[in-house]
Amino acid sequence: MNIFNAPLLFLQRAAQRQLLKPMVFGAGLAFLTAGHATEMSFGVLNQQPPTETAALWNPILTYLKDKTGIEFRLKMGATVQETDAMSARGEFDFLYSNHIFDPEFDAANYRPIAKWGGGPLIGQVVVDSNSPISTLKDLEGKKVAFPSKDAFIAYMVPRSVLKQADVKVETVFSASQQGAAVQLSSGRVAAASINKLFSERYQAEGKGSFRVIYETEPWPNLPVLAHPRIPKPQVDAVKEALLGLPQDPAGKQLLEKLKIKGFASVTDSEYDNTRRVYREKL
Amino acid sequence: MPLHRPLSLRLRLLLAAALVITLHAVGSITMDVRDARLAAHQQQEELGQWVVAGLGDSLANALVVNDLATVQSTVERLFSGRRFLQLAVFDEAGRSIIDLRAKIDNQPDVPGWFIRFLDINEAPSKRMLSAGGVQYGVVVALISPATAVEHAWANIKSAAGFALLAMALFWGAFTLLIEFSMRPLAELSQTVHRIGSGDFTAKAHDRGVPEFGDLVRVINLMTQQLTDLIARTREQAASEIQAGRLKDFHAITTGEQENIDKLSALLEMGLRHFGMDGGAAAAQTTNASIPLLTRGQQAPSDVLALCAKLRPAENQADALALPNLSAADTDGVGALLAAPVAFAGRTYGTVCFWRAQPQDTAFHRVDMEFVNLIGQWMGFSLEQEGSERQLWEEKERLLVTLASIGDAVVATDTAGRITFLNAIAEDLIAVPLQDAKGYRLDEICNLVHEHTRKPIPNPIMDCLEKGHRVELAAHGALVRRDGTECPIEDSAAPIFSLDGQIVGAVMVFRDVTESRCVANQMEHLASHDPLTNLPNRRAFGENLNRVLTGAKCGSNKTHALCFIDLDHFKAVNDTCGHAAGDALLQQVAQLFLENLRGTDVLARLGGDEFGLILAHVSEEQALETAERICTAVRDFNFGWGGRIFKIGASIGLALVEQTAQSTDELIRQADAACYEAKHGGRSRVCPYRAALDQKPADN
Repeated sequence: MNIFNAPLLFLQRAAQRQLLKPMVFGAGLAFLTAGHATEMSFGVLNQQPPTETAALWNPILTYLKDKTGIEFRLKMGATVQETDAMSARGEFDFLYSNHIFDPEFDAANYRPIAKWGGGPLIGQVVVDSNSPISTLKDLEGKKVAFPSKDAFIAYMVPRSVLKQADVKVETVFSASQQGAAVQLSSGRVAAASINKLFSERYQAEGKGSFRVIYETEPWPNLPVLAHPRIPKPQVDAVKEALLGLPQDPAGKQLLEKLKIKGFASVTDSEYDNTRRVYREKL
Repeated sequence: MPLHRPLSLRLRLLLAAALVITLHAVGSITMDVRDARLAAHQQQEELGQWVVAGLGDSLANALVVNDLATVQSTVERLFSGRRFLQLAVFDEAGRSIIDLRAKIDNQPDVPGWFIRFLDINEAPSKRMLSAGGVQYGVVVALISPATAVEHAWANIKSAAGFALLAMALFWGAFTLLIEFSMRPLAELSQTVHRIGSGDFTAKAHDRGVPEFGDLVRVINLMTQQLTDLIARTREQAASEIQAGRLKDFHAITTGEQENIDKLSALLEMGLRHFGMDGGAAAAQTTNASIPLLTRGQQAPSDVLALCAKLRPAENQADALALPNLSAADTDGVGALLAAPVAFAGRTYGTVCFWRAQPQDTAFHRVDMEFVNLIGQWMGFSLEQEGSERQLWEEKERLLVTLASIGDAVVATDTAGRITFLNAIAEDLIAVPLQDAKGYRLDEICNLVHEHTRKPIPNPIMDCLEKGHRVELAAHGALVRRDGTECPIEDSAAPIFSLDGQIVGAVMVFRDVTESRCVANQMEHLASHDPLTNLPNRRAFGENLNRVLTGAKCGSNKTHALCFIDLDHFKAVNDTCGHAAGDALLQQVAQLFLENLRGTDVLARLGGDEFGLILAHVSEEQALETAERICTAVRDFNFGWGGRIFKIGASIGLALVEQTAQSTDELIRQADAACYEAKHGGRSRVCPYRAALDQKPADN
């Protein structure tokens, strides 16, 4: 979109909607975005296959565009490592990831503006429901699937627990939460370490039947972060739109459609423990 | 005439069946072709949809993360010129990310018209690559129709093959069905033909379909009615005759003098047979000089003249009918009905019915047929009588001839069973005719080869099989039931009927005992030495030739040839005379024979020279025999005139092997060996060696 046409386009949409409040808000936003590119990149951590990620996030980004007037483009690497590398280079204007709390990404200096709704982030080590394994000790010497070495709740946290329990397992990285779950369902590994929320949804879809042998303590869910180069008004606009989803009729409809809880407010200090775990990895 | 008239019912049914089967097959193949076309279209479409659907997820994943390299490699990996005409991916703005097209157009290996008929739509299959409401691009696949076309062509060929097979099976079944269904009709046709030819006893049988049953019943009913009608007509005709339409007529027959008695008797018999026996019959010779022979009422004299006038009518088929004659012309004959007495082209006379009163109406057809019938019956009776007499005369002549000739004659039927033997044959076979009748010749005597004693083929059966005259094999002999035998010569020939069929055979043979005996004696004299009764040089040569031929024909046995020259024979001959020499030769010959097998051939070649053929012996066995002979002669003392003479035998031996060249060569070898024995000290055996050829061969 041509930056000179942006205000005109915005006014046209405002006139169509005949909404005063959004128009005032939009006029300010148009002023604020006058000096920036109108399309912003929104990075998402590879937790699912790209099309499923796009199916989830593109409607949210469309909603954000409607609310903020900012054109968002979903952007992610083909692998977690690529996405993390892009994060490190600050290629994303906004980002949904918790890998950013790894000290190696400190230079990018992304800041949390909201977190995934629906409760804390909980990791589980699960086995097949018919498996004789019942404790972490039973995993000694066996294959355990993890999404990736950068997965926080599915690898960093359980790895720390296994280390403390002095249980040595054969690590199998499976590229994503789904990959780890599939490895377990197909019997290639004895256990999988995955996100509790994902595990429940996976089993609800009938793709597998797991039994939990270990569950982590609650951790703050993945944050939506903004790069420091993004002007505060745009960050605030995005933050407001995300947090206001349940209150907005269109947002509420979107949440129901996507079957998600929306986003919750967050403070940077909520992730101090997360940062600590990453630091321990070092 | 309509074109279909010449077609038989069977052909019409077969044509109808062929039409139905062909239409069914064409319909079936048409349906198959239509199905194949639909299937080809569906396959083409489904394959395109399947490809873009299968590619969609992986390509969308790659496009979401902007991984164009993966997009390109995925498309390149799947693309093959055989399956695709085009496989391409475009981004959301329509820009080509990758666009692969087949460089060559793969024409399927099927006829062009079939491709045009299938008319497979080459519209590309597309799928939008989107996620979460955002379009990332589109994948386009244009599937080559080659696979679908070839698949459809294979299906069509298979279906056509099955259709043709089904046609053949249906055709066979229809043919059998029609054949079985038409069989009762053919039987019905034969029955109707029999009825048409006058056999009213023929009945049609209800073996076919119900429609045939109706037809059969109708035909049988018609036949029955026809039979009844004929019976009624016959009864009517008989009753008319019985009623005596000609009862007041007088009957007279004329003919040659020699037949007149028979004619008269036949006429009387015929009238009695037809119930007209009223003493009206009369007979008259054609020549009117003899008065009428009358029974009952006498006929007017001019009936005779009338009958003479009827002569030209003898060749007419119908009777001469004169129902109303003028009394002035016929001198008292008012009505007359006459027919010739004739059969098979020969006329014997006339039969005539007459009365004095003329009648107003014409003669009834039945009357005319009756008179004709009487004439024909009388003619047939005379003809038959003449034939029987001729046959009897012929048979008598034949029997006398057969009894007179010197050869034996045997006649048989077609199965070779004896029907006749003449007296000579009865004597030779030693079985009378009444005992031999009905038996085959080989059942009452045997025919064997005079020398080999093996049975020889029965010449009667032989000629019956071959259909022409055959001669008995040479040296045939007839062995009677009592074991006695006589040499015979014979021949046999089949007997043919007028239409060329074999109706039996005749064998003629004679006793040749005397001539055969003379011939045997002559043969013995020609081949034997009269002094010693041993085979002479000519017979020995023939034997040697036979042995050599056998050896050359692959027999792996060896034979031996010996030349024996008596030592000191000349001294006996010169001292005591030729009589002593002859006696010595006879005794020595006997001595030789005592030391030989029955199969060995000893011959006197001339003077004091003997030849010996030892068949089927090894060299050792031959030498052993020769030594035995040599020793026997050495030990033999010949006495003559009070003196005792010692003699010896010098024997040369040559082997007759497969490689032997000729009899002359063998004789030369034996002669050379004999020379060596003689000059090596006499009274010894010397086998032939090649070295002997170096020595002079003079005796």
